[in-house]
Amino acid sequence: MTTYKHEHEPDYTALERYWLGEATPEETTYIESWFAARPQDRSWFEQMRQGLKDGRWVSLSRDDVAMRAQSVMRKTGIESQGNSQSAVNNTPVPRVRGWYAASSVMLGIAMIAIGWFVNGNLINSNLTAHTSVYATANGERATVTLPDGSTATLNVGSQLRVPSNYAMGNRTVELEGEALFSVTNHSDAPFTVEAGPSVTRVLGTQFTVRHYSTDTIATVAVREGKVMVQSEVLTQDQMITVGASGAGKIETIQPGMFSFNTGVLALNPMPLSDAIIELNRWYDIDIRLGNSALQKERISGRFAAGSVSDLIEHLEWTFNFRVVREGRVLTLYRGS
Amino acid sequence: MSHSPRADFDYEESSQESALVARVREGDSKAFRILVERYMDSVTRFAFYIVHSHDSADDIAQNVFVGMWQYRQTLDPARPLKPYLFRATRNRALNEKKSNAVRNAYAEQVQAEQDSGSILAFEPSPEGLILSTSAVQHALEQLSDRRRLALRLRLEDEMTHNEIAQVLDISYEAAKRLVGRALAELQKILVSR
Repeated sequence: MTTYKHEHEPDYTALERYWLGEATPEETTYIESWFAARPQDRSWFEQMRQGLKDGRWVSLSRDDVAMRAQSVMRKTGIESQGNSQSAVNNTPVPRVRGWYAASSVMLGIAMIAIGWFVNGNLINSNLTAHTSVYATANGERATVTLPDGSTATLNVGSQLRVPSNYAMGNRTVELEGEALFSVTNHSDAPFTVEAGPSVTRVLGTQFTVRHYSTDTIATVAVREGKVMVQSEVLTQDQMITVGASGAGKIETIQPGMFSFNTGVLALNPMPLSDAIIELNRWYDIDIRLGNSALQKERISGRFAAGSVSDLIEHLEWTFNFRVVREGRVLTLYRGS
Repeated sequence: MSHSPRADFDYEESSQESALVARVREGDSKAFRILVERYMDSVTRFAFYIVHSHDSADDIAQNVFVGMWQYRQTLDPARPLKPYLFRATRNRALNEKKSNAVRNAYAEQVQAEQDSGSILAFEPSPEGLILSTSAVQHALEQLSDRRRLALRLRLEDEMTHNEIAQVLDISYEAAKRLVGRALAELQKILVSR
């Protein structure tokens, strides 16, 4: 239950949601009683509704939009001047820069590969009579559909254990590594993920849980809905870390936390020594440093699945490393 | 890479954005065009709010979409497209303002001396100084550019605080605060008037 304060200043977030027609019944009651007590504020609010739009801005008509879209199609080289009916022409498309160039093809292959892993290659062994184990190797990702239609997209190098009586309502799974869960709602049977020190309980929602054996903490991030981690309740776009000493503070999610799901590893700026652990797992490679002083370098970026040569190009062009590749082993030196 | 439409894909005006974005990533020009038409108006308007010129706003908007096609591999179908487009628009619009500022450096310097430089850093465009007759417009013009933009993104473009944070390159908390402050300031101006 939210407590509202400040007589003359409303809760502006509630007011925004009221404006947008997204307010909860509780917020609506609050805003309307606030307006009832302060008629001058209702009139202010009504004026705003009328006058927010800049009077000098004239919306584009359908024809304006079509004309401008046509111009964009020409500028991209998709359509040439005299060829406006056809969507295809021979003008080369401006080259996509850098390490993204080849990655679409690779990504396509990776996506097909996922389906294949699920159908055939994914390890699904009954270690005991009670548990099914789904695992991805480094460089592999896969989506597992659970008996109730919930899905878990496993990131690289991850393992998910599902109890055999899952369908009967024991929706408790164990994770090592990272996965995005999309959970169907069964109000009578909560879904629980145990990963390292963390226990996450939900009804129906989308969220990721991460705890690799190399991680000292577990991380839970919510994409949609509500989840409970230990005794903290997280809502959309919130995350929390759990260490040996318990749960930390609720924070706002970091960009790219869910992108592995679409084949992109997003690294926010971090020391190279940490990034190497992520990249090795992502590409199933072995990155080594030619000089230990490089450990402190910081790198970041978005890395499409599959193409190690794109990674090398990125390391060389963006971060000015010299990269020597021998099979799976990449050795980094400071570039000249 | 083929740019031809796919026979087995349903190109409705109402098609799911994430599906269209995924098609664009693969080089599908028909899906691209649908998205261009869908967002042309709001992107141009957003550019206009920053540069205060219809011609510049048109150029910026078109270049944003050209850029979207060129760098289509960086698109993430799992994320809403609008914040991505608006962020690109903001970057281009601010660059445009900067290069105009360089071009007019001398003129501005003279003006700044006359004007004690108070508003020029944010509002170099003379059109930005034209006062509208409406009370709300007048009040809006007293807000900082950042607050005004954040408010419009929230209430006119119906973005979440999180999306506004992406567009303006600030934290979620800062975006939420910015919108709240903008509303508080407008309330103060309009109620005390």
